[in-house]
Amino acid sequence: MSRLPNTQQWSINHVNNKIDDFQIVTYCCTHCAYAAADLAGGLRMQYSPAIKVVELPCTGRLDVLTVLESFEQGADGVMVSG
Amino acid sequence: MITGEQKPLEEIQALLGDAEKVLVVGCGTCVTVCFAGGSREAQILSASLRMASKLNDHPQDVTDVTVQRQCEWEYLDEIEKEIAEADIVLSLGCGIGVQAIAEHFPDTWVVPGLNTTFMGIPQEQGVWEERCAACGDCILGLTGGICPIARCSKSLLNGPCGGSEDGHCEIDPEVPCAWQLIYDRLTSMGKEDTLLELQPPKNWQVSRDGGPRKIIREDLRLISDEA
Amino acid sequence: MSGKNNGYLVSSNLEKVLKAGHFAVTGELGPPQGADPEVIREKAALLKGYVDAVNITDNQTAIVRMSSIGAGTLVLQEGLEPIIQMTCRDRNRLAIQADLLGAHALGMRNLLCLTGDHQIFGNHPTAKNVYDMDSLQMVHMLTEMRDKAVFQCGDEVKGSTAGFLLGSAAAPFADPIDFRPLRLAKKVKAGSNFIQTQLVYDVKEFAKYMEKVRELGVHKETFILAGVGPLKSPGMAKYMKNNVPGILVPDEVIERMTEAGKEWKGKKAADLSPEEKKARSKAWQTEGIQVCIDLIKDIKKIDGVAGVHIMAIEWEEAVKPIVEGAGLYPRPEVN
Repeated sequence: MSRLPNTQQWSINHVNNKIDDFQIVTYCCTHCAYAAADLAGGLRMQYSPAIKVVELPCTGRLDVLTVLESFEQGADGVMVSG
Repeated sequence: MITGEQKPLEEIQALLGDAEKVLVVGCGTCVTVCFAGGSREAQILSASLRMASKLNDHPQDVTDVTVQRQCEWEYLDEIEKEIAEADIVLSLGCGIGVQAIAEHFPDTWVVPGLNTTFMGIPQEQGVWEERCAACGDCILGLTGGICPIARCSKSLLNGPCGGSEDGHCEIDPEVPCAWQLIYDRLTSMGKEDTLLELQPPKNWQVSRDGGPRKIIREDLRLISDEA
Repeated sequence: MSGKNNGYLVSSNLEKVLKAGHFAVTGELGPPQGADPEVIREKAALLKGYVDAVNITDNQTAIVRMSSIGAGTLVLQEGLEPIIQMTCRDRNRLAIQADLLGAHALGMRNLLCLTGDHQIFGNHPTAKNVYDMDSLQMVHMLTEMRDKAVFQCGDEVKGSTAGFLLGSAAAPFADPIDFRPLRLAKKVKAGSNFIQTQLVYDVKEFAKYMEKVRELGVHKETFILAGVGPLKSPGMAKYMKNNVPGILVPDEVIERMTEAGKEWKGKKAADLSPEEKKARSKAWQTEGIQVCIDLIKDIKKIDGVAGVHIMAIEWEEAVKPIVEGAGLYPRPEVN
């Protein structure tokens, strides 16, 4: 069923395994938004646990099918950050 | 190539009605290259329909499959099993594909997901233009390779009419006047005398006006009627 | 055929006036979007005696109206000669020929062959168009029908055939402009006995067009009637200049129209009382008629122009003062 590469599938499954009322899947470019999230973590900054980060080599890699699949698998929102 | 455009989601939903198992069938040829009904569009539409039906509290089981060409029996044989399992088939092929599925699977209800639009050319990324009307009696040799049947709004054979302005058709300033194009091309190639010849009324009998058309090539047939 | 009728093709009043060398005047009558015959009779009464023949439009601008042949029959009853207009948009070759056999039987003798405005402009934009033929092919088909008594398919017409004085429209200022005189020549080659042009406001440009037409010798093979029409307001002049393909309106014409309303200059329609609006409208219309008269006088001087076609659309009252003002009244009687 899945059309995603394995690493992304793992990320989504990983996200879905956490039971939360509200889920925002955030697709982050490894070079900027993901690095920023990493830094935020390093600095112990707080952000909503609803936000699940999925790392992409580039947001240009993001396919509309991936976004649709996120919604189908239960995401309440999708954020693209890059 | 044949071009098409996807119907609005609401219309597709209405065509599908309450069917529980929906099979979306994409086509890997013309409608793939015009981004209307290929594998990718079939997947996106399936996901959209699954979500839309869920939101309407009537979740439908929508799956998709794409064949190389819906208009050839051999490719349709490949999806016999999927078709048999579906309550309804939504074809994303052109009108030929929809009819081929209906003809090949007489017990299957098939509906169109596209409006088949025209035979044309991808003029630039995201832009397609009509080029041929399949009139059955090609006159491009007279008109410098520009078809007035398909490209003049009035299909004039002795154009241009008085509605041509700045090289555009009276119906829409975005539509080039086919006869201006013909005039420019014939004059640039020194063949303007062709424009002065009165072209007689066209034989529309070999066009759709003569009824549905059929080509029979005895030299290619495996079984001849005469045998 | 011509030998039978003292050299005339159809012996219509228009043909006689043109062949006698008179400067011809034709008018235009738009049938109503309804079935009331009185509308036609009233309009015919306004034009009778002031024009040699009157064009009856055929679903003009692709808006459904009383048929040109039906309205033409009423016009004939009023003692005015109709020029039936017929477009290729709504009829195939069967319907064109059949309707014209009927029109001939009803006494109509002049026909203007048109390709027709695209239906997208009209009140049935979702209709399927026909365009089985174009106007040139139609002229040729009807020339053969008149002169050889044959249908387009080659079959003979049984009994008497339908013969019309055949006209075509010309758009001198439409694109591609260099081709326009040649296209006129092509229309004449197809059999057009007379030509009515699109509205002319720019006499200088029209004279240049006529010069090319004369070089081709076309004016000797057909009768060219220049299209003219009275302007109702400076706004109408500007609209035609900017929005109607193939119509040139020189600035001096717009200035003349603007000047006529200078008393009310700078005032918006909303600021004017009904009386003031009426007075301004009257002033514009008077000037519009005068501009039209001056145009006719200038056009008459151009070699090769055989007459004028006055298009006073929904303003048939204007025809009388225009014809009188241009010194074209009374109309000749040719027997």
